[in-house]
Amino acid sequence: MQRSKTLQEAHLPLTTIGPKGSLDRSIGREILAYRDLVVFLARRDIKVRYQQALLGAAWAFLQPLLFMAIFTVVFSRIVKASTGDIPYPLFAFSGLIIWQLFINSVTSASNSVVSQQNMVQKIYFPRLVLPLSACVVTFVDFLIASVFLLGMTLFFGFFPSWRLIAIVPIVLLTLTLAFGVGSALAALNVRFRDIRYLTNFIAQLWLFATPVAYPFGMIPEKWTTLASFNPVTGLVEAFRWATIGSTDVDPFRLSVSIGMCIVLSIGGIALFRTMEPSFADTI
Amino acid sequence: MSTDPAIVVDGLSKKYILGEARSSSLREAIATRAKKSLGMIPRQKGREFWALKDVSFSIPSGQMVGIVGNNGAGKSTLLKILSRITLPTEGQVQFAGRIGSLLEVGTGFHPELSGRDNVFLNGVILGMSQRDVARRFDEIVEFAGIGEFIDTPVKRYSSGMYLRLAFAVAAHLDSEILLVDEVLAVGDIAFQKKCMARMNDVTRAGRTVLFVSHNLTAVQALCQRIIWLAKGNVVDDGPTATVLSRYLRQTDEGESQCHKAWSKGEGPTGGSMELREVSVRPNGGGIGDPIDVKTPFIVEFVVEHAGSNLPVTLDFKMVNEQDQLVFNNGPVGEPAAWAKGTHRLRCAIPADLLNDGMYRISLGLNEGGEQVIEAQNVLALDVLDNDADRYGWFGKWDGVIRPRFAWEREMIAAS
Repeated sequence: MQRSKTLQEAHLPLTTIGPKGSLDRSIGREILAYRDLVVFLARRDIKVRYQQALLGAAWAFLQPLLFMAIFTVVFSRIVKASTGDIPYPLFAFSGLIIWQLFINSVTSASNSVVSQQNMVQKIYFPRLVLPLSACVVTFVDFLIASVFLLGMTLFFGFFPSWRLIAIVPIVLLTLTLAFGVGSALAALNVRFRDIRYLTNFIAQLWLFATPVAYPFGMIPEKWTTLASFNPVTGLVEAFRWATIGSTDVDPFRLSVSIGMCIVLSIGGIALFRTMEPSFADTI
Repeated sequence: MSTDPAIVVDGLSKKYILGEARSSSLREAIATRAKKSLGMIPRQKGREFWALKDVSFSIPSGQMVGIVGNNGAGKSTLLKILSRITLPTEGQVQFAGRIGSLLEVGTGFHPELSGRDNVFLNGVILGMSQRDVARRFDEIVEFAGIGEFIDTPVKRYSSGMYLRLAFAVAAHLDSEILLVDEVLAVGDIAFQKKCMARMNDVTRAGRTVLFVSHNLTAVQALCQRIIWLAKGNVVDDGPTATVLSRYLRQTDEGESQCHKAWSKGEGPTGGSMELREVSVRPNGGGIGDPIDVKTPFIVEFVVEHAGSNLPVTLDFKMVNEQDQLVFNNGPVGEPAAWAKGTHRLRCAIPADLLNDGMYRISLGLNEGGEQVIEAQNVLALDVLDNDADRYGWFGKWDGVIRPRFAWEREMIAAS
C-alpha cells in the first residue's frame, strides 16, 4: 500500500478533494467547464414545458398579458393610476415582463436544487449550475415576451430609441440579483422545505411593493424612502425608461438597485457555496 | 500504459451523525434550537458513525481494481467521495484527469423527451461535452440496440430499452477514470455480455476503473487487484486471487460454511450414530480455500457409531440457489452394518460438474432403511466461476450443472 505518493509527474489535470472540497479550481472556471450542462438542463425544461402545454411558448407572454388585463381594470379604471402620456396597458406590460423575469427566476432557482434531488445525490457537478439554468429558462421566456412588448410599443405608436441599448445592462443586473437571491433560497430550501411557501408568499407581497402596476409617484410620501431601497424598483423604472421612454430614471433608486445587486448576489452565492458540500447528505 | 498513479487516496475518513435532523421544517429547527437553549432537551450529540476510517491506497493508471466487502463496509461511501458527491470528513483524494461515474444509470433522464434528447442530456450530465456526445452518438445508439425508437419519448420505452439506453450513454464516457457500481445487472444476457466486453475494452484502452460488485465472477474476470473493505477499513489489498480467497474464507460474515465440528454428545444424533464433523475443501487444499467450477473438491463426514447390526445408508444432497436438488448421492454397493467406532466418509466431487453459485449440503443417515439423523443445510458452499473457457462471455452460465463434454466436429460434405 502506497501512501501519499504525489501525482506531480502526471500530465493530466490534477484534482484534490479534501474535507473542504476541491482545492484546485475556482468556481468560475468550474461553471465554465459545465456550461453545456447549464444549456442542456435549460433546454430540457423548456422542451418539456412546451411539450406538455397546449399553448406552448405563448405562455411566456400570455402570463404577463393576463396580469396586464387585471391591472388595467384595477389600477387604470378603479384606482385611476396616472401614467402620464403612456397608455396604462403598455406601462403595466413593460413593468410586468421585467418583474416576471426577476421573480420567476427567483422562484424557479429556489426550487432548482430540491427538484433535482436525484441528480444531486448521484452525480457531481457544481450545484450552482441548477439555479443558473433555472434563470436561463426564465430568460428565454423573457425574450419571447420582449418581442411581444416590442409589437405592443409599435402598436401604441411609440418608436424605440437609442435608449433600448440600456436593456442589456438592466436585464443583466436583474438576472444577477435574481440569481443571487434565488441561489440563497435554493440552499436554504435544501435544509428547510418551508422556504418554498415562504418564497411564494413574499413574491406576491413584493409585486405590490414594487412600482409595477403603478408609478413610483403614487407611493405615499412616508413610504418612499423605504420603497427606494427595494432593489427591483430601480430596475423596473430603468427598464420602462429604456423600452417605452416613460419618466426619467431616478439616479438614487438605480444606484440602490445596482448596489443591492452586487451585495445580494455575492452574499447569495457565498451562502450557497457554504451549504453546497452538505447538499447530498441532507437533501 | 503509464505507471503514474491515477488515484491517490490518503487517510480518507467519512463520518455520519446518526439520528441527526436532515432536511426538516423551519418550525422543527426553531423549536429544537429553542428547547435546547432553554434546557428542555439535553444537548446530546448524535451517535457518530464512521462509514470510512483512515482509508489509504493508490491506483496506478490503467489498472482495474475491484472493491469488495459486505453491505455497510463503506464501498458506496468511498465511491461517493471519489465521484465528489459528498466530501470526506478527513483525509484527501487526488486524481489525475476526469472521473466518470456509473453509480446510477439514467440519472437526469426525462420521460417526456425522446431517446435522442435524453442521450445528449444524460451525456452532458455525466460530464461529456456536447461535442463528445455528438461524436459518439451513433455508437451509443448502436450499443443500446434502440434503432428506430431513438426519436420516441422514453416514456414509451420498455424498461429494458430504457436501461439499455441509459447504460449505453454511461459506457461511452471518455473520462480517464471510471467508477462502476453494480450496474452490470442490466438487461438480458446478450446485453450483459456486451457490457462486460465493453468493460474489458475500457481497461485495455488504458483507463483506470474502480469496480464495485457483488458479482465475484465479474470481479475475478475483470480486475487485477482487489481492495477489500470491512467496517470502513481496508482489510486487504492485493492481487485478485489472493485477496478473493481470503475474502471468501471469512466465514463469520460470508455465506460459506465449509466446516463444522461438534464435541462428543453435542452433534446431531439418532439411532446409534452421532455426527461429529463435516467439511468441504478443494482437493489438495485447505478448508476455506476457494472452490471454483474447475476445482475438484472433497466432502468429508465423521460419524461416531455406537455399534448395531443394522445396515447404514447415507443420503448426501446438494441443493442450489434455486432450491433445486442437484443430486442425492450415497455410497454404492450393498448396505452393511458398521462396527463400533469413528468412521470417516469421504467423497470426491469432480471438476466440471457443478455450475457456479451457492450450494447447500444436507446429510441424512439411515439405519435399517429408516432415517435417524437429518442434518439439513449443514454446509454451504460457494462455487465460484472460472474465467477459463469462456472466450469473452462473462455473464451467468445457464444450467443446473455445467459439465464439459467432448465434442467432435467433422465436415461431412463440402459445398
